[in-house]
Amino acid sequence: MLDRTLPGIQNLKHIVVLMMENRSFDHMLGALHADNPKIDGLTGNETNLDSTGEPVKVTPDAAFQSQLDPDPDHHFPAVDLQIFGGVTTAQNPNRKPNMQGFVQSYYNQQNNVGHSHKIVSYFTDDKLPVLTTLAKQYAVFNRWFSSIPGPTLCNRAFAHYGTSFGQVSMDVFYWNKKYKSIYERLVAAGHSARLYYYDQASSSLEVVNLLQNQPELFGTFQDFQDACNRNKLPEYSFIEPNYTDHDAPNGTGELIANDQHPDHDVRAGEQFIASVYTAIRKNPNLWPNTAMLIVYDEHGGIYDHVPPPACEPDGFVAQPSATGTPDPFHFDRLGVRVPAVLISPWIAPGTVINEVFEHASIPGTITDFFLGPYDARSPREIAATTFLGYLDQSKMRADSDCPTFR
Amino acid sequence: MEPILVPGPPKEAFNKHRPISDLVKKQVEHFKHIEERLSPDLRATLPQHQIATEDEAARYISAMTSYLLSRPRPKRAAKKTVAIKPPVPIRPGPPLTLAAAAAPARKKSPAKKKSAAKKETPAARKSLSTRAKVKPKAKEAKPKAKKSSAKRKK
Repeated sequence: MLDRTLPGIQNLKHIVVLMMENRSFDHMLGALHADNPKIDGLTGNETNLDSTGEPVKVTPDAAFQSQLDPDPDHHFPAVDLQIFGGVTTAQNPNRKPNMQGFVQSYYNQQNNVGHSHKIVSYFTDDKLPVLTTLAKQYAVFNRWFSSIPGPTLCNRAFAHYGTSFGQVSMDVFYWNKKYKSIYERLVAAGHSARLYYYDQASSSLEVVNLLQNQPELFGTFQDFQDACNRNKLPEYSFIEPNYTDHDAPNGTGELIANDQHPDHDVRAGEQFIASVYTAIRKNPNLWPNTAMLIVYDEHGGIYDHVPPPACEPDGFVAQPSATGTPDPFHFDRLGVRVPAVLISPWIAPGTVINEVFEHASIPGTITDFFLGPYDARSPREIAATTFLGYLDQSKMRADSDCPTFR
Repeated sequence: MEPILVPGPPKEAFNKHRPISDLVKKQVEHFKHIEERLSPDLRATLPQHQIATEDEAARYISAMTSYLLSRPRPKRAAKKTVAIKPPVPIRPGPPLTLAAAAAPARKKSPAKKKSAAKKETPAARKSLSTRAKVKPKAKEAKPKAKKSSAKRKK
């Protein structure tokens, strides 16, 4: 139960979630283990067997761009291989995740042994000054997993609805309206909520349900920045990055993709994260009253060493024709671990969170904070851990104690 | 604490002619799914170029997004701010089986087959205030205790 007597909670008025694309925890934050062993990152001795049977060690040589090309496969069958190392339930009905199939999975895309080794590369923290600083200076989640072992759209659905309505692929699907989106719940109760996409050319990934039926929920990233500057930020904001390189609509130049989805330059995403953080950080009317979550939708097919745990079944079943594997999926196991950082001046620096979270924790947390008890939600969301209890400092951190970027 | 420098990407990192990823491909497909249900007159106003690069995708997505934002919205009664009442519990149904996936003609969620209520298609779109209310079913099983990252006592 959230302790609403905490000063950070009593001051809390806004929650902002930025969801980036397709990078695993170890790939982005694994290097932090060296300085802080509480962060469950990499020792450098983790391995995956390649297609020749040789163990391939993780390497701190992740590149900003042009390394993970082709885009690593992150659809359900490939992720099943990555997590279970190629062991099927026919071979072992009680198979356990061993995280040994990443190199083999990447090999399958090009049959290139040398290139397949790139999938276990990771960034040193100097290459990601924004994400790693925020992870060290606020709260980093050791156990935030994607909601299903599959691709983007169904994982993002868990952040919006608390479920993917039985979807494990990227195909069009319609909500069943039994479980309203977090936006609809908030608006129906008189609260304010908005999804901010980067611009109309990038738009939202929530096309068929939310953008088509509730376009009034949407704004641009410029709208977000304006709202911050004018102290008009909604109570809940969900931000999507730019998904494509394209010309600025007003002819003012080029807009580089900043979602960090391979093969987009990771540095553009670092700048974007910094800009979202700065929009809140620089405003003394927002900074004390806002909690910000930076999270990634799924691991993008990239290596992580932590096996995803079993979880509360969602009440749906995806048959083999949908999963692309011999087995149905009962939405009873989480996906691969992703980077997740919680930011607030009410969080102690160096906080490391070890409870299990997943994307259903997002609507779960927002609902719990703004609405209280609410039953018409998926079993996964009802069971999901909420995260605001980590705003637990008795005093707000001094301005000089909280990082800024330029 | 000194401000931390954030280096940006070099100019050559930008490539609007990059082939679209599977993600953007699917995003375009979702917009196409909507477009295909529009009248021929409306479709004629939307870009029909090939979409193979990020720039081509961006131009199409921009036009479709602009269209979706520009459609007149049904007027709603002014919202009153009221305290939310706990909804009547709904008994969970049996697990829903996903119909055969990836068949382009079958785009609806399996859950929709259970309901005789109007489906959420563009043709059947209703405003929030006029949507049919789902009739509550008999009371559900007790929800499990919510887990919370409660403040740990030091």
